[in-house]
Amino acid sequence: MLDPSDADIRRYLLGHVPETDAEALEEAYFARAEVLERIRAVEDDLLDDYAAGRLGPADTASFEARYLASKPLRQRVMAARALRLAAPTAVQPSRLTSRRVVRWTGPLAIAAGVATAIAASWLWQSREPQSIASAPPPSLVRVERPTTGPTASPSPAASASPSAPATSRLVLALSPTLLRGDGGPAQVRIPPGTATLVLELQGDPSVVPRGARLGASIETVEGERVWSGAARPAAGASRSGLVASASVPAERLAPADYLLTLTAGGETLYRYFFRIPSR
Amino acid sequence: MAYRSERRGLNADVFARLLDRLGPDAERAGEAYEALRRALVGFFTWRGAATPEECADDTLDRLAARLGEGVAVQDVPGFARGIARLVLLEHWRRPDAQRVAIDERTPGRPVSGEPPSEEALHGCLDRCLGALPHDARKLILEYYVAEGRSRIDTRKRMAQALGVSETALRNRAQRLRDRLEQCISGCVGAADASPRNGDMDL
Repeated sequence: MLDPSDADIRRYLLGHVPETDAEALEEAYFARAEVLERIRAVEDDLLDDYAAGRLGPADTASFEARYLASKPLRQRVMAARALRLAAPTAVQPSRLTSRRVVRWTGPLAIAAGVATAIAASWLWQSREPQSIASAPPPSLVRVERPTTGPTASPSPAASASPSAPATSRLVLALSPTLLRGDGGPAQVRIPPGTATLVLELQGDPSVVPRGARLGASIETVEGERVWSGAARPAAGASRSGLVASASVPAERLAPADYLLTLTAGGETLYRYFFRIPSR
Repeated sequence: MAYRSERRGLNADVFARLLDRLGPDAERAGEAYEALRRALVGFFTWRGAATPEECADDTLDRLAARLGEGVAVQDVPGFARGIARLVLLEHWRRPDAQRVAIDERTPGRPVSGEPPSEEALHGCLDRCLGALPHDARKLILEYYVAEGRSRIDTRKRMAQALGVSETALRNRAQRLRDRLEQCISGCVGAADASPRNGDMDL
């Protein structure tokens, strides 16, 4: 990616590019400082667009999943919210302006805005702990019981190592971890009796070439392949952010760290990192 | 310009070898080193590492060590990028790199700790904004507040008025924004840690 466009860069920042494109962009900004500077500039505008509510729902979800899950990036969001409140159309919090002596005019809006933004950020995080992103959380484990009847309701990951009751199918949702700011691997203990681990693979469905055959392979981080097979495309747009799923025999996954590669027509789309911890 | 070469006990010779590979003289080598470090910090930040600066320094230490061992490397930034990917995987495998599980974040318990008091926030805002020179404050407000098409036009007009390229203006605005962001974050953090804010220098 010798000369990435602003759109390419924005997609990279939102985690909407296949791994090969991400690597190409990274190669570019490692090689040329001006590319890195452009990425920071596009990022600033992305932050400001988010703060102003100009991102669409899908981009907002992607943005929040990354930028609110990482402390360094959250700090940038706070600054963006503050700057936003300096915009001419922004609503100024009257309670703050009435308390402060005006030392300067324009920046007073900034001062009020930053206070409000930071306070709102704290309050928002405390009130909505489960919706840092409106998209599904990066790691979601649910149990699908083998008997007839309704499937279990999805629930957030219970802990860093959720354990599900014994069942024939276990479902784990994965985000393209190498692109997203979730800060840690998805993981699940596989209880005895589990026949299949269904890995639901998140990403941008639009990057999947139409009609391409999807495949998945799983290797340990040391490079030993433990499984490969077909991946099933996500059905329509019913699950926002879901690209495909792969059903893996549970017996193939001993406790270890794994990398799953999702391909379309042999080309790498995304990689996912997950862990099966020791029992 | 100070370089962190003491973290892995790297000796001066090994570190000098890294600088030699980055540039023909001390000044250009130093610039290349800083550019490489910025790229590494960006990489780790955008790939979601919790401690991008630490990971970047770890990568540079390993790079210096490898070069010191006599490994033949044609493309130093590319080689650094490869090391960075390994560092990133190791970072995620560390227990302290794991994110807080969703259900541990109960209402009333913010992810990042208790919110600062309103007085502390006001103090931080006044300090950080007041620490910027007037021209800098004006520049950052004008550069980042415009929206849509007017954003592009505003920035073009600003560059022309200042007699600089749009790239130079963009870089200056970014540096100011970084300062403001770090000042606010640092000041808020200091307010959390103690009842009175210390002096903050930008």
